[in-house]
Amino acid sequence: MIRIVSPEGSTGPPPVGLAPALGDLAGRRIAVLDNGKPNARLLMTAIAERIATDTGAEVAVVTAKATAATPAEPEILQQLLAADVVVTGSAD
Amino acid sequence: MLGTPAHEDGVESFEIADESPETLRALLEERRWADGLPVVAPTEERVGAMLAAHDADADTVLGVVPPRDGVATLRAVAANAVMAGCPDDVLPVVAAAVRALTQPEVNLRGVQATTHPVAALVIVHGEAARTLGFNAGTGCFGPGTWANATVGRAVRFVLMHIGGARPGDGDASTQGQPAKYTYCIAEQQDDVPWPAFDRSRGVEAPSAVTIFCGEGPHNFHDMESEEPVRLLTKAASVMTTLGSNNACISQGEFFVVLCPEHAATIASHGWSREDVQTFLFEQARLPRGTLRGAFDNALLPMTEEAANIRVVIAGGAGKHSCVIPSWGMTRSVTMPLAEVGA
Repeated sequence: MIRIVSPEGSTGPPPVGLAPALGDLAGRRIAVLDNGKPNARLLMTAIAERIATDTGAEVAVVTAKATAATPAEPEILQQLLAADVVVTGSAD
Repeated sequence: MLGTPAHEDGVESFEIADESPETLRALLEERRWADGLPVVAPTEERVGAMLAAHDADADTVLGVVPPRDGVATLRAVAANAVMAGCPDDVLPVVAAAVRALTQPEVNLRGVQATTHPVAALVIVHGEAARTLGFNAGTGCFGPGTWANATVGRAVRFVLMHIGGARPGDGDASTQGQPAKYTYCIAEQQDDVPWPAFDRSRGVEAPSAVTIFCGEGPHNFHDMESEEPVRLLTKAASVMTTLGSNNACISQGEFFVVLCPEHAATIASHGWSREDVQTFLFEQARLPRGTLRGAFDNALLPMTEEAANIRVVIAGGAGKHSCVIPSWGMTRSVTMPLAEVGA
């Protein structure tokens, strides 16, 4: 028998996880984070508005990252604090 | 499961029956390790010997590699270097490349995860390029040199294993590209007309490493020019590729890798590296209507400043040079090569 060293190594502390799902969206505030992919704002705002109509929530924030290739800037994340739910993550 | 995982002092290892090609292949496929080609088994003895050759502290952290956010300790990096077939003495080059890749300006999370076929090019400068046997000459981007091939492959293994960028799972590259197997050259130092590239970036160490996240090399061929303008107009022609990310991301760099004969022709007319950068910045332009779909045809540069056009000399005899477009939202990094010992 021989012993192989894992080439993966360890991972650091896990990133902050997702918040628990909200059971009832009535009266909740929805944010749209446009991640910079084509038509992301159009698509995700339409989804957010549909959710708001169906549940009694409101679309409170629509904002965007500078580009799809970089993380959201701190000031953008700060804007999202005004919401309870965020719709984001459109791909090519 | 073929390999029996075990953890001792926080180090994960696997026990397997032997290191025959068949056993190793089964383990690699089960763990989704490596690039589809045979590897050297990273046994505890081999990894330990590589670290011992440098009196290195195995727990030294070189960086954190996204998207998995794996911790690139020297032990884990050495395991990848052994797997890739690296000789023990190139470990500091792999380590320097990992340090460079994990600098914030590289935006490695984006590089790793994008649908673009971006690959990490490693360029070795200075004494280490000579003493460790890197190829800066004929066929330097191609096969046949142990140091180039294995260091580039080790860096890819670090990105795949520690960083978790496997095709379709962490690495979303639509088509991938051959440079994702290995992508490492050395800078030519013999009979070159300009200061070394690392010196031009203010790095004064005896040896250094540059990393750049871009496409594969795009050749340009010029047999006949005896002066810089026509020769570099061909380079500019390659740079004005409408489908490259440089066409839509103004901060993107270009690496222009000149063969020694082209560099000599250019320099024989008194042109410096900076003159080449300035010329290409002025020449590599497309009409606004072509680039942006606007209604006027003012010429726009392919990058926002001449300094984004990085000029390196590499290659052997002949008259072929290349342009390497960028992924775009990333910056190249040149770092001194440091010994990895404690």
